[in-house]
Amino acid sequence: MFCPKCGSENTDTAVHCIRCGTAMPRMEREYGLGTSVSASSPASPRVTVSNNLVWAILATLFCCLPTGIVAIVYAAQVDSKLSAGDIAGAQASSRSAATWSWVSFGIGAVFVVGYIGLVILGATIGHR
Amino acid sequence: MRTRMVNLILLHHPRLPAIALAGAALAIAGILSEFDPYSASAVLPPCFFHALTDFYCPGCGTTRALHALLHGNLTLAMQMNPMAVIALALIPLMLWNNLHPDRAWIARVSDARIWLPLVIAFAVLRNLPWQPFVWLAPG
Repeated sequence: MFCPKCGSENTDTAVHCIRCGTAMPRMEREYGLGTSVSASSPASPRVTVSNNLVWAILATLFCCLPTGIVAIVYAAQVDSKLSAGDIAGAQASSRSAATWSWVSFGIGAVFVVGYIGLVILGATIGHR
Repeated sequence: MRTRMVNLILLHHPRLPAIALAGAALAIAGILSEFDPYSASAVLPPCFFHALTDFYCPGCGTTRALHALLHGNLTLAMQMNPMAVIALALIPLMLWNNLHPDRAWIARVSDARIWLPLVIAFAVLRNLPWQPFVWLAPG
């Protein structure tokens, strides 16, 4: 889980943050990128790690790049590692899924900006 | 460092991704109501993967599908990119699942292990030149 004060990643059993020493909450809910522990019963807390699938799908649809599918592969790894109980592995795959999605968005944005730049350039030259 | 910042922001603003996506959706709707993806002097970018390889990627036809949806033509949108239409309908559910991971059927919709084979199959099948797969290709 992540420290609520500085955001550092800590083990799920950490009492104090390894970076800033803040007392860690006993039940941690974290959305989007990391881990959340929601205790349905105190004895067996259910751990979820976001698979970042939303970003992976949007990257696949809007960036026209194979890197979006790589992000979906990592998203699938999050879910399979999670159901196998490998929380650390799921967190690593979750980060990879996010990274590949943002790489796709970055390259896609470069293409789109370049294309629109060329269109505007072509229009200005054409009107001369 | 970057992920730590992102984690910290998301921890305190868990609804931020949904709000950002809603803003992006409004911006895209505004652009698509102004520009026509079918016009010859298109300002809207084409699929770069298709331009480079001549193959359809899973995202090919998304612009035209969104344009069709914006004009109320669900059939045309499905012809352009059925995955875009279905995924966009399900993304609100996935965002909900991130906030409240307690509904089993919503969790199943958000399960990437189901999406991965479907997306890969879609990417391959829409390039096949025979019926009924040509239906999956845009246009």
